[in-house]
Amino acid sequence: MVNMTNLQRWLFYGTLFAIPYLAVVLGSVKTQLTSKYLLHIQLLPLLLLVLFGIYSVWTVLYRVFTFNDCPEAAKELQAEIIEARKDLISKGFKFRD
Amino acid sequence: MTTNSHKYSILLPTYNEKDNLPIIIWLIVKYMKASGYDYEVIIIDDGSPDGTLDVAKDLQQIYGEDKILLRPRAAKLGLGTAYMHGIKHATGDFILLLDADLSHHPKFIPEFIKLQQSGDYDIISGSRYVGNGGVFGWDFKRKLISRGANYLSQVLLRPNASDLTGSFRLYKKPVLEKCIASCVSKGYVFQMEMLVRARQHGFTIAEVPITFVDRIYGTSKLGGTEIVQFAKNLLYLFATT
Repeated sequence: MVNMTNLQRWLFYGTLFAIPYLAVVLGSVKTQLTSKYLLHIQLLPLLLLVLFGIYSVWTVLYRVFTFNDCPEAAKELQAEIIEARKDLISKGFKFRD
Repeated sequence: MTTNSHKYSILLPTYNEKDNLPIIIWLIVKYMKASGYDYEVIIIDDGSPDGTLDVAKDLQQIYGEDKILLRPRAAKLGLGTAYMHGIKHATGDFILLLDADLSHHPKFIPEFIKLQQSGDYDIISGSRYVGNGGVFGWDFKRKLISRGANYLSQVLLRPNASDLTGSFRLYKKPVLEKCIASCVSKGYVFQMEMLVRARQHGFTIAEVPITFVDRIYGTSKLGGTEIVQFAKNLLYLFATT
């Protein structure tokens, strides 16, 4: 487990899901419950994919809108640039603008 | 004043930064002096045609050859090799990486050092995505790309850090050497791979929230080719790490 690459880990969990899923969908395993909900089970991967998609889009958008803007940091930097230029010129530095 | 027995080597790879270099050096000196930690700045200029190296020489005259070290290279050879080149000449036991374009403010360096000492971490990474961290000068599209790429990387690579593409970091010297040696990618993705390799090696990482002020002089580099390169490298790392 520790030395698996990310791809192998995804394939591993994918297989864990696929084996019982295919057993039910292809009819190797038949119970009253799986027969009754066969359509739901067939659509399960699609549902999971849609849910993951919604979760992803929601997460990314939430993070975009809560991304801090830092106008104070920019203002502080601008002030320090002016201070730095003055100080450096007083030390004999020549800016090559 | 806080002091310890360590020395911090600050690596500054530059390419056409004649306007930013004097300011970033002035800021580093200001905040390192105030914090009391022992330090040196190593400027690795890759043959900038705008005369960045001459600016660096003038700054060395002002601040002294023990504080400002010049280790130029003849041509632009990539970030990873620039860091390796700098490390070779570094006399500190800790290496600090930051961009010379003023997007990373040196006022955070003492915070990096304090956090590193509090838990003996191998790596301290500045993060725009946690706590009071953030960005200035980014529009909706830029934020969306950044957040989207970061989310995708988190899902696919499970790193132990929130800001994968940032490049404001403090490393123990041998840790940095080991991470660079195991990296295969170049450019924009290099910083991301560094943290992924760090996870593989079992190094500990802690984060300091930083504010990122996008380039005041010059223009930012993020276009279609960068995004394609990013996706390619992300998939490569997904399959191999």
